[in-house]
Amino acid sequence: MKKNLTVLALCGTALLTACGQEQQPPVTVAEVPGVEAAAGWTQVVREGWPEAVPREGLAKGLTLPIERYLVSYADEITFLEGRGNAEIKCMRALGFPSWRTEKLGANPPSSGSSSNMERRYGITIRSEAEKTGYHDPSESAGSTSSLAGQETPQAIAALKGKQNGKAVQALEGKPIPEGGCIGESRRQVPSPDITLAEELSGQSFTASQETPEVKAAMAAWSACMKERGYQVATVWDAANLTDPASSSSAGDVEKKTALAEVDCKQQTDLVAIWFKAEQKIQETLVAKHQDALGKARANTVAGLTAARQVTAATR
Amino acid sequence: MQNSGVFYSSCFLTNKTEYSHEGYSVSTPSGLYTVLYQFDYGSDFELHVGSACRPSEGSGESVKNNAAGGSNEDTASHRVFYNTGYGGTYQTYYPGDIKNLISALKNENASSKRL
Repeated sequence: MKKNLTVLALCGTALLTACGQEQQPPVTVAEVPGVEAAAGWTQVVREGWPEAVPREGLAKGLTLPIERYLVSYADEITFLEGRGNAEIKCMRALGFPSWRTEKLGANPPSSGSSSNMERRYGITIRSEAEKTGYHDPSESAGSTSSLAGQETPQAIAALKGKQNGKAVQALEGKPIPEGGCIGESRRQVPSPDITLAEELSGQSFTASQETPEVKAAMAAWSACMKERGYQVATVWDAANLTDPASSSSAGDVEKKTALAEVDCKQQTDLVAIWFKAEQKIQETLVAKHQDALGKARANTVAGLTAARQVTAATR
Repeated sequence: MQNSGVFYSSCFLTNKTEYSHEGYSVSTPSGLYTVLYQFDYGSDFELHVGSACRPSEGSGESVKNNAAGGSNEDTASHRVFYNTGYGGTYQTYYPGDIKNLISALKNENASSKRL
């Protein structure tokens, strides 16, 4: 509260234009309490989740302006949990009392930054490069768990509102919502509204690589890699040297390449220079699209609040 | 692929994390076996909005750095990344999303993660 009072006081005495440029505080998800997943509803594993800001490596502590308009890993799971619970609620009402959804949060990525900061400029963590090269140390196949047993033809009709390509209106007298329970869950829990933020993030990502300072730092990095025997113009080429589909390199080659990439980045300060260039570009983009971004963020917050409310109601 | 209305396109289907959109290799007793991902020639795969995957322009081409859009028919989110091994910027496809790739990723898709 004190912070808001200070801002208001400043606005009272400062120029209007200065007030207009004041950055809005990030909109946070409303205080709908998170609840322990109730038995029979969407299960969530909350251990080993990554931090929202890199804790180690060349990108340690770095965050970009656009991140306040993107979604953290924790919020992604909140959203999926709400969707899953809306689906279960709907399926139970249609006569499927034991309907289950996938367990969430069990295979968290090693990166929690909403701008992918740990790998945004290529790999930045030496210990990861050493252990798993370019692969994600927390990597699992991430494939769907086996809930296939519950997917009888009747269940699919309830889930999708379709059978053999045709819409199904009702199941044993109970009306099926449009698009089935999946359609219902999408209406109850709208997706985060982050496409604009992602588009702008992509624009600054591309533009930053065209700046003279980043080009110079990349060239210095490339020269450093050349000294170590790698012919690579950019960091993207380094990862692709050991693309599993185009080379038969063993794990050791990949690790050595990855280590060289990180060491040369350290030597040339590439990550810090690149981050600074992108941060500047993003500040301009965010200011230019402030209104639209603010509206989208409000939609995202509303969606996440709805997700939490659906989950809270399962208790 | 337009952002609204019905469309037909060649597709690549996956329900898991993909380290590289080029494909993958597996060691076998008789040597290295490489699987290359291509946009599907073949069968109709219906998307939830009435659009469908069908053999068309792009059939047989490599998936990596060649996609224009996507549709999430899964119940989990998928993130599409600029570089192999989840590097660079990304775009999220939430369950039910059907949309073009952002400008930074159009024909610059190289990996994806299932959240």
